[in-house]
Amino acid sequence: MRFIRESNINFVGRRRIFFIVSAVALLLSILSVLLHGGFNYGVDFTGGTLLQVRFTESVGTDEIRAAVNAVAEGEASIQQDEAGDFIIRVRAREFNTGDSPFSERIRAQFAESFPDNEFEVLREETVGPRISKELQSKVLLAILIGIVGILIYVSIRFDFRFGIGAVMALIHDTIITLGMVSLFNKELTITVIAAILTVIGYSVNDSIVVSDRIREDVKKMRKESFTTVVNTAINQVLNRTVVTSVTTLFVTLALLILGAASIRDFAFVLTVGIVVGTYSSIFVVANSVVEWETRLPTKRRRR
Amino acid sequence: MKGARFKFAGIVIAIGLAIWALYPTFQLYFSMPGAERALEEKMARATTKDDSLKVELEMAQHQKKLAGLHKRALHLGLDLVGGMHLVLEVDKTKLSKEDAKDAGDRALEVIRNRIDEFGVYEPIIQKIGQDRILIQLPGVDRDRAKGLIGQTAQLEFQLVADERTTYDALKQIDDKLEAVLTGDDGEEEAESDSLLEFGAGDSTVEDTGWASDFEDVEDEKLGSFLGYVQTVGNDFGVDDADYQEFRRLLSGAREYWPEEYEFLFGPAEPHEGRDVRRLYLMRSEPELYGSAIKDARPAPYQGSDPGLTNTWIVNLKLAKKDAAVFAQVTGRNIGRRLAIVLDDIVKSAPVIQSRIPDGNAMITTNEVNPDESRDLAIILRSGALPAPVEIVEERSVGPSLGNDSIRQGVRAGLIGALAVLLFMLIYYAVGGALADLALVFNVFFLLAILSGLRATLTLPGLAGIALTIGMAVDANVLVFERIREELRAGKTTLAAVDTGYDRALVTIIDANVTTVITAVALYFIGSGPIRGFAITLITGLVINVITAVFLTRFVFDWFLSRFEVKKLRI
Repeated sequence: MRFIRESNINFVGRRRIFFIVSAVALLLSILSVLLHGGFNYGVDFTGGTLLQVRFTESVGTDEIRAAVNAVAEGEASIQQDEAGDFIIRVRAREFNTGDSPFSERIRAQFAESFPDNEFEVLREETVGPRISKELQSKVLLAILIGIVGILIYVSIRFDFRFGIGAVMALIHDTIITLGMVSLFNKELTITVIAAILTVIGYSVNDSIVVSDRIREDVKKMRKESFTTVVNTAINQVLNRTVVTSVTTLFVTLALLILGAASIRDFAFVLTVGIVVGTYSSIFVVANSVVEWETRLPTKRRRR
Repeated sequence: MKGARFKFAGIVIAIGLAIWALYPTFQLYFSMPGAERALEEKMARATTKDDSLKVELEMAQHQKKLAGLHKRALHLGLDLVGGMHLVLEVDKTKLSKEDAKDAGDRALEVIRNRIDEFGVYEPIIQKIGQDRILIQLPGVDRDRAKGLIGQTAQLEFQLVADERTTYDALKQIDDKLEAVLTGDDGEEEAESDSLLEFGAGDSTVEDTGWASDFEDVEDEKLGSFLGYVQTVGNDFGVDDADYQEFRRLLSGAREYWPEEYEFLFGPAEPHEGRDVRRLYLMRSEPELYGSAIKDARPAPYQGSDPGLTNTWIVNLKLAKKDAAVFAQVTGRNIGRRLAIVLDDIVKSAPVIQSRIPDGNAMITTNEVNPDESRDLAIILRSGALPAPVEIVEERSVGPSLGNDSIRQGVRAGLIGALAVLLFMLIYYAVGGALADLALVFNVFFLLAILSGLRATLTLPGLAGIALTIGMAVDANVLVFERIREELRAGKTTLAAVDTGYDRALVTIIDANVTTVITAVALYFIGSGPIRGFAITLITGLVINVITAVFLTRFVFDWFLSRFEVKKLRI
């Protein structure tokens, strides 16, 4: 069985269309972030407290809000997930002010407001302002190290052009994935960042398979134009690209649909990232190398 | 097939090793919970005190086995079993410059000591930078953990009972427990054993008369209470592995030794190749408290005793008002030992050499290395001068959420994996079956290596495994697609498989290296869960390459030659 019989789709010839598609997606992503007024950062990055609370008997969000407001002065955000648990977030300003930390005050307040309703704090995350600042710079550093590491590796193994192509693709994938995080109003937590870094790795993985084939075909098809070689290579690996994406998507989709709430955002980012990564490896990497090659041909090819 | 036997042997060995590495994990998470429930039911049925003591002993054995397994099994992260992750920062604002210098060490010492006493499986206590401390306590609920860290340190000076009193008490407990277990009336037996033969009156530290007799007892009573006790230098001690169960036994037998005494332990220390804890019987009422200490500093010995030349000591200075009490205590108890007890752990038990009138004492360590004196000084000052800590990061997960997460995560992972297996089988037929085999082995080896590395499996780690499954297929897909191409190009089956593997290998390695680069970057930013994910991913990718290139290749070659396949459906 196979999805795609021997294909000969003209990807390279239509590269302008794909550039426009990508440009629109990028623009929308950036726009979404801007319109949302930046990301919805989790407590990892803002500092503050997150509590996931489960009550024995059901309680309305308004009652919870009233109780939270009694100790947090309207700074808290409250959400109820599908299991009926409440997720309460308070930003850094409220952290450790007053006599006792917010999490202690809220526990006391819940005990007072709902005397006959037992509650359990399923999860608590409290991050001090200094830690969150450090985390921000650590994350930037990690992403930078990841990107530079890949650029170096790809440049050594292939050609600097492919390195740039791969890095362009991964920046493309990262921006669009982040855009989706913003568009779907997901929280930007350290877990989401981990997923994005994984997407980066995955995206490059795909780019490399394509680049690898181009390199091989360049040697084999000496008479053909560079454009034709690239197009052949993309078509040759198309089946593999699709199969791999599909199998990986099986898993991330299973996690997204059936996984625990805490893993869902992670799975969401991976799912989006794999789709975008697959797209970019077919439509962005090779095409940008072609674009570069047609504008600034290397001496070797001109001969 | 050249070297096929060799390869086959390699594969068998790898599988054997993996089973060996995974067996404790299997025991810990699958067979132990059942055993524990059985014991709890037994405990509930126990009606008499003797019965419950018996079960208590069995429980103790169970706990010991559990502790052993915990040391060898795959760890589950805090996000899966519940527990607490804390980062503390020492608040130096109220300390003088001099006192602030080792405030981080003092706080660390106090916290390590307390968690040690608390008996948590596999805690992590680390100093990060100058004045931060990372603590991870799996399976500990929040309130207990916070209580543990929130209190200020309690440093006390307590008088240690002499060896004979200690031995008497231990023997007494042993007889009682023995009687309970055999159903005898314990009283007679206790008397028939003459205790007077062990040393005379106030035995000195050098007097080892009891020790040799004691070892005989140890042999014949192996498995019962005294069987746990051994000699550590001039002290009694118990194996660290037995520590928790021994404490349980002690607390179950509280009425069998004099009321004004208590049993306390030292920290775990290496002794004859094992970790042991010294055991002390001491007066419950402290002679002095840590607040009496004005200062304590390590210093090289400068006195005239030739035996102490080049060794390190601790100079201990007491506050004026406490010096008189100290003089009295030391004057009355020359030759006895005065233990320094921090939060119920005996950190040191020096012998009182003489009356100390002015509150300036010297504690000798007999060590050329200054470490011990430095540590002891830190401990002494931590009691006098607590280093206040502030929680700067806290993550806690309740056990029920952890359970939910595991259940859902495993289910989702399994369903995803099943979908992948089915898909591959349909899409690549024979090749698919092979890829599926590789995939199953992948996960199996991955878990085994994670166990072997003593890595921690976190929720993102579970996702990492699931992701590895998705990506594991990639290597095989690359190979198979290549083989298909070669077949189309008109090559024979064998040649196509050969070229397919060779050509795909480069791509597989290139593709995986880049993912490893990002995973390494992840490892450096992350704490706990994210690190777990990074480790899982890196290990998974490495195994992917190995199984794809060696395992499936081997099976593929075997399959082709065994069935003399002419036309390959792939």
